[in-house]
Amino acid sequence: MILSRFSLNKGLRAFGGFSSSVRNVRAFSDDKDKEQKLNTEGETKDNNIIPKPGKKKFKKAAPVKKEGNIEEAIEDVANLIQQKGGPKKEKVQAELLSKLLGHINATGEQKAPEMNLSDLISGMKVEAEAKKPQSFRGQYVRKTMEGMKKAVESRPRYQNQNRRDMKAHPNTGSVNLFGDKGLNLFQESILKDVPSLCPTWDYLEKRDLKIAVTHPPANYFEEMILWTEQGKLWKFPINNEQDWDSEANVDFSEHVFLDQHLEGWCPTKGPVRHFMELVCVGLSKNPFVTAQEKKDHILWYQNYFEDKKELLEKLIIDVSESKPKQLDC
Amino acid sequence: MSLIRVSTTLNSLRQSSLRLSTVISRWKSTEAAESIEIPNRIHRSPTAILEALASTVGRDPTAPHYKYHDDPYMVPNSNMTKRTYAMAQESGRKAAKWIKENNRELFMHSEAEPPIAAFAPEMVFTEESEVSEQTLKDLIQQCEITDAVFVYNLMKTKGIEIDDALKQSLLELVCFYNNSEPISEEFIEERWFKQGAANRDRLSKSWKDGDLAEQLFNELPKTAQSYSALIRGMCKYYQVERAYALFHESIEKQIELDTKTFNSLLLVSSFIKESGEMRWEFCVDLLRQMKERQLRPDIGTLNAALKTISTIGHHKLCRTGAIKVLSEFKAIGIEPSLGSYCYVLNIFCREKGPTSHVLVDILNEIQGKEFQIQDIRDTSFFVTAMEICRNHLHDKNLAKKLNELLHTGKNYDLIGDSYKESVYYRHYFGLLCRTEELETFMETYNHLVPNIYIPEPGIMEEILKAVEVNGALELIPRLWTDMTVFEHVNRESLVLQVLKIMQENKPMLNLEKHQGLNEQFAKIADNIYHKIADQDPIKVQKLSFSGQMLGDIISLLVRGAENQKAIDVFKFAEDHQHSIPGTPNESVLLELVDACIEEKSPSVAISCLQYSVENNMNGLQLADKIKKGFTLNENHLAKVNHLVNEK
Amino acid sequence: MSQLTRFLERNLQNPSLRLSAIQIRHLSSQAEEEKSFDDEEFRVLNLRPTQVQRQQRRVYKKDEPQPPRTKVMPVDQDWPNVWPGPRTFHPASVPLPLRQGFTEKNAPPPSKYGNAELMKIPNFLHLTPPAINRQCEALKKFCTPWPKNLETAEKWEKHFPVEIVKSDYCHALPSVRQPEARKVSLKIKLSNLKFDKHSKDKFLRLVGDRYNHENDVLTIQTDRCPTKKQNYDYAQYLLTACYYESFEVEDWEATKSLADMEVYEFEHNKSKISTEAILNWGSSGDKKKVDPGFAKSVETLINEGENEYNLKKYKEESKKLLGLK
Repeated sequence: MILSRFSLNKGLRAFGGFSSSVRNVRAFSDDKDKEQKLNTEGETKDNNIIPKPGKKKFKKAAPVKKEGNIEEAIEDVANLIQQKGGPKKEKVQAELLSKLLGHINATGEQKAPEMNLSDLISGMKVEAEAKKPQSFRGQYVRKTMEGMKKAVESRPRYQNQNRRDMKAHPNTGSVNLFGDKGLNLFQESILKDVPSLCPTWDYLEKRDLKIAVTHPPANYFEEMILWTEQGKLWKFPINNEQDWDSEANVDFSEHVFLDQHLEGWCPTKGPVRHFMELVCVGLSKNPFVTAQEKKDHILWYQNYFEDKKELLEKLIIDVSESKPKQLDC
Repeated sequence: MSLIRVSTTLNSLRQSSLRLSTVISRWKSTEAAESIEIPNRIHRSPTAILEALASTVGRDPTAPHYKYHDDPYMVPNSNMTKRTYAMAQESGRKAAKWIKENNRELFMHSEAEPPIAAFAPEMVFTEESEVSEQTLKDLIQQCEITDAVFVYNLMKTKGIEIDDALKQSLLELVCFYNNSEPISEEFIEERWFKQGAANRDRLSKSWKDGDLAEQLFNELPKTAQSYSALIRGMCKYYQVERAYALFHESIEKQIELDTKTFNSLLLVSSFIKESGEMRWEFCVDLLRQMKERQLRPDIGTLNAALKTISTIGHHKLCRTGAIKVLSEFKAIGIEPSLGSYCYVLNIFCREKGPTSHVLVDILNEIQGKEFQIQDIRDTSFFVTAMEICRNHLHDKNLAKKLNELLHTGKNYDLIGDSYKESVYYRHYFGLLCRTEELETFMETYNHLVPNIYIPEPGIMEEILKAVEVNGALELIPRLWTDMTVFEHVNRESLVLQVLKIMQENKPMLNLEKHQGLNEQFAKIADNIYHKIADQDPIKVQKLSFSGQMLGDIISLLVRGAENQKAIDVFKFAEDHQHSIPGTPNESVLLELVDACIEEKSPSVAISCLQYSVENNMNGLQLADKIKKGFTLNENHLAKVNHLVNEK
Repeated sequence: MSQLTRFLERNLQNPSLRLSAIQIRHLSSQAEEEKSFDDEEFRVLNLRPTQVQRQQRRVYKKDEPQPPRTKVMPVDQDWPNVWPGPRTFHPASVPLPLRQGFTEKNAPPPSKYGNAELMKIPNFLHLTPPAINRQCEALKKFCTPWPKNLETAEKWEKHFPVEIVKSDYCHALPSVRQPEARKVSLKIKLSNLKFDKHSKDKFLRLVGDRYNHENDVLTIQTDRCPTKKQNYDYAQYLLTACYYESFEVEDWEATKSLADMEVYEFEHNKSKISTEAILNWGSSGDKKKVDPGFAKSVETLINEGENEYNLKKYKEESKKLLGLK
């Protein structure tokens, strides 16, 4: 693009005559520009429609031969550029024309909308059929016109579109979306935040919105994200205790210090105590059982020993009685 | 406070588990000599890293969408196949789910820890199921409506107490979905391809009167919550009169409603009042009521107001109204969302109204910003905007700006479903092929087609037109292949257009890019001929020949030096001349005679002449040509003269 | 009518086309019948039923597949976009002319199409250096900078004397639970804790094997509880408990005898008595005290074991003691 613009300028400078006519056109267009600017300023607020610089404008513009001059001149320039090894002729022509006509149409704020070469020529040729040399370009344009005419005839329902599509609408002026002072209803000060009355509804709505923007995954990572959210994939960084809620809240003391469960029912001395302490030590070293199960295990013993209380008492007394005899032996 | 240093140690044996990370942390000693600030660990969600990685992956233009199998035999190349393949995958998933549900006893094992709910068969509630309030709560959370309703009824029959909050929750659920089951969350493809059918049905009243929602409403005490739930539901499903009646009832009873309920009423105000003026008045009145109650409006209010305004016919009133509303809400600090801009575009850029370049201002306002979905109407923004660029403004720079916006950040999520996406690109292409140079347009074409967007036949026509205008004949074979792949060749208009372009524009043999075009054109013509000739006779929609078409084909074949084939086609035309409407051009016959001369078959040439004479075409030129070209024997000569003199 | 005529003509022209329409079958059967009558010969009796003309199944003309997309890939494309995740090798998507496999004599290795060898092996096409670069850049936002004043290992130890080691394991199983993951180990250098003589001795006895004399590191490894957190708490508890317990003096500690002593102290041992006896042999009155250097050398010799230096020192001290040169 840079190259083309550079060569374009060179081309322009090379043709003094051409540039003068361009200048003329430009001068003319500047006046129109100012006119339009005034219009824009005066009417922006109410957003009334500014008169379109359309075909009408061309009719009021410079007489035909000037435009014919321009066309020829553009072709010559384009030829020159192409000879010098620049870009394609059609492209150059299109650019030149758009540059020229951009001045006529721009409101000064936005970029000039670009127009098709064929549309332009059709617009220009409103008054008279200027006889141009049979150039490659012209042949195509003429064919297109014929073709388009045929197309328009054979498919009337597209007619409107065809007519419209031929040129980009020039800017009708900017709309200040926030310029009005509004309804003067709400003031920040008096508003208060009321919590929503239907929380379930809000939740459902949010879910609906989320689903509306969920698209089929577009790459491997998005698929993994989807699966993680559905619970099919482990969460990274890998936590071997993921979602293990039952154990997460249990303190270590409930696993290790099981003597507390012996309080109240277990005698402080004797074989039962001995046994129960061993049970407690064993259980405390077991990491595969939940704390609740350990407690239940121990309390089961409580019930068990309660049941067997009489038998135990008998046994213990016997043992304590028999002990001195044994020692003697 | 602890310092975390992560080091990874990989085990050499693949079988044993990998020690993923050894976290070594240290405790701070009690003496803090120098100040050491340890930054806090940046909290990340389970998918945060994946999302970060996903953001590094862009789009590969040559690849089909990720969901399709990436194999040349299995890549879909037309709109029909795209839809078919995606839905086939989805139906496979549905089939798997069905099998799982029907053979529940085989799938009860769950060796996964933590258990994967998605793989276990779903809960089935029967008459004997043990249900409690918690089950109902869970079901509402998962949006299982039929199950929730069933459980509710079950609980009623069993006499289990259901507290009011839960009933309210159930009421809201039923209202939201109008007591019908929505598409399950996991069937993404189905939603993607829903083709906007749902939107079209919405406009008619579909609220189920006297159904469960209202029953629940009657059972509950009449609080603000129940009123607002019911009003919202009725408005959503267009039961407007009763919603409005309820609204009045609630005002009489001094019940305080909240913002969202007002929003839902605003949304349907176009059904309550008839004329534009009245609608505007009603809208303002509702807003005033909100102000009296000191309710803070939100983005929903703005969008609802704009929607009502967009239904007003008179363009001046609606434009001024829209701007008033926008400024008002901006003053409170509510930024318009894409949905509001969509409504604004609808208001300003109407087909039958004057043109407006409000889109330029909107784009200036939102250029480069990333949007989250805030309102269900946000998804229509890009489609509407592109349509306006094409039909209303014909501005390709604006379209390009819009396209850029679509591709910033995660805005592509807001394209909606596949239907909206295809419409968006349809407008984009339609605009570009008319206003942009063919080369740049072809770049975009190569980039987007066929994986992101496949042009519809209408757009294909426009592209062909543009190609014709620019004389870029070398693109025709490429476009023809595309057309065959996209299954457009059943469209008569397209086929005719292609033939016409090829026939009318002779390739310039001195141009390098036009080398070999004649042969390619001949191939295409041959293709077309055989395609139509070999069509299955029982087929309902089939293409039939016309004289013009055959003429084009013949001429192309001749130019491509396929004289024999041309002669075959001509013979076919001749044999069926009674069943084929129209006749080829004279120029075609001239070319054909040239071909006959090359092929040295005077009989064909004479039958040519006969054909032309029978169809009232000027045979003199032909006859001259024949006489000059051939050395005819007496029979032929006599016949020629006879034919010519017959006229 | 024209449709039918066209139909018939086409069918007459192409005898290969099987006729499926009823009318045509009717016509054809008529033709056959006519033929049979024309022959004027015995009609052939066919015991075996004639093969019914199979209805031509609709031949779905399959479209030709597109050429592999490697042909349209531009040379300067963004490879991480093409191959973002781990994926089995696919020849139509990888634009490299790879060959792999067993070569028969004078034949080139098999090409990439239909090559199971290339598909079997894991490929790392998704981890090319630019891809890794990009991913690292994207992940940087989750990283915090290394704190200042903590560059060297000595500084770490100075500020953070306690070291905790926890592990997580990755494995390919449906269940994420791993019993090895619950183990927590706590390391600390005892020089960071304040002890007096008694408490140090007691502490070391309490802790036992977990203390490494060579580098003065105490390691407590816990795995009694099911979860990491519980084990961590337990390890902390153990350290605290042992420390404070070591300062407590129990009654029965007074019964510490010479056999329980962990270090050799010259003062309380027989050696002193013997040495003094030697020194003061035969003399009465002033009891010469043993040279503290000698005492020390004996202690070191027995506590630290015998090595060159200790023996030498002992030798010198003994010589000094005995007044030898």
